[in-house]
Amino acid sequence: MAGNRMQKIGSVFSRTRNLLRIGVIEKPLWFDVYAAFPPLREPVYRVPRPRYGKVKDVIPPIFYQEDEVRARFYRIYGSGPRPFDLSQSNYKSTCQRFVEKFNELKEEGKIEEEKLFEETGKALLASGIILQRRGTDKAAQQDHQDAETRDSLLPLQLQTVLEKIQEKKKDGEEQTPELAETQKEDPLPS
Amino acid sequence: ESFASMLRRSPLIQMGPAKDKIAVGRIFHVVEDDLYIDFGGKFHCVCKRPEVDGKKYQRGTQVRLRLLDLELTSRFLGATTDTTLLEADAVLLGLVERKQAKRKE
Repeated sequence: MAGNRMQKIGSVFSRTRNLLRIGVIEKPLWFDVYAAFPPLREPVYRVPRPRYGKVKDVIPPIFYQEDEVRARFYRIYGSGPRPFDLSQSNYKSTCQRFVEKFNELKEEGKIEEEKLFEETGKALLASGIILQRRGTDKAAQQDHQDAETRDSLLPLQLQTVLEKIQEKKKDGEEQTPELAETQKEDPLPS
Repeated sequence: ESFASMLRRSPLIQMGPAKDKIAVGRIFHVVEDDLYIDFGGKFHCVCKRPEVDGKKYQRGTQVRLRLLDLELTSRFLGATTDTTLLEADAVLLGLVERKQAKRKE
């Protein structure tokens, strides 16, 4: 289908009229309407007047409330564990889930402001999404040195986990898997 | 649904700034050693065929990229507007590993 999109030559109407005369396109629906009721000013491209002095065209940046959460998420965790797939329009990245969880917890209002971020991380861990902190390469080098000390700490931490499980058996079993996961995830190089 | 609400929830806005983000792309054109990869952004990116598994990169292959820039633009001295290359900038990381990838939404 032919068409002329060079917006600087004449107006849409003149371009379509010429193309029609040649016989390259068929008559569009709006052609007769435009011919009968043309606008006051023919829409020819005009170079915008150069602005002098301090007059600036203010285009407000597009910011959302979720951007604060997203900025913090990306600063701490880097790019998400899953690569982005921009071709799907209904794609939900890890960051989006994080943001939605964050907003849910915020609306519930039970957790304090400072702890909201960590709580969202733990909630995501519970649902199976593992988040790796940024700067893992530097951390891994240090971990090799600290591996021995960490091994000795592990049994102590496992003991505390066991004690907590025994204590909280009365409260309910829902919290224990989360606790166990977070306790195990925290000392591991992440 | 309005455009504004769809934009707010679109994957492009979810990604935010494109620097150092991992994305999945598809090769749509090959010119000897140059691979033209489309990852869903405004422009495609062009990468060199890597030496490891070079033959596996054909038309339609899914690859992993680290995005650097969504559009390569810069303003030259004396110009009123930026000059654009109509290309994005990305580093090719490798093929998408199908067997390890879990089935997620």
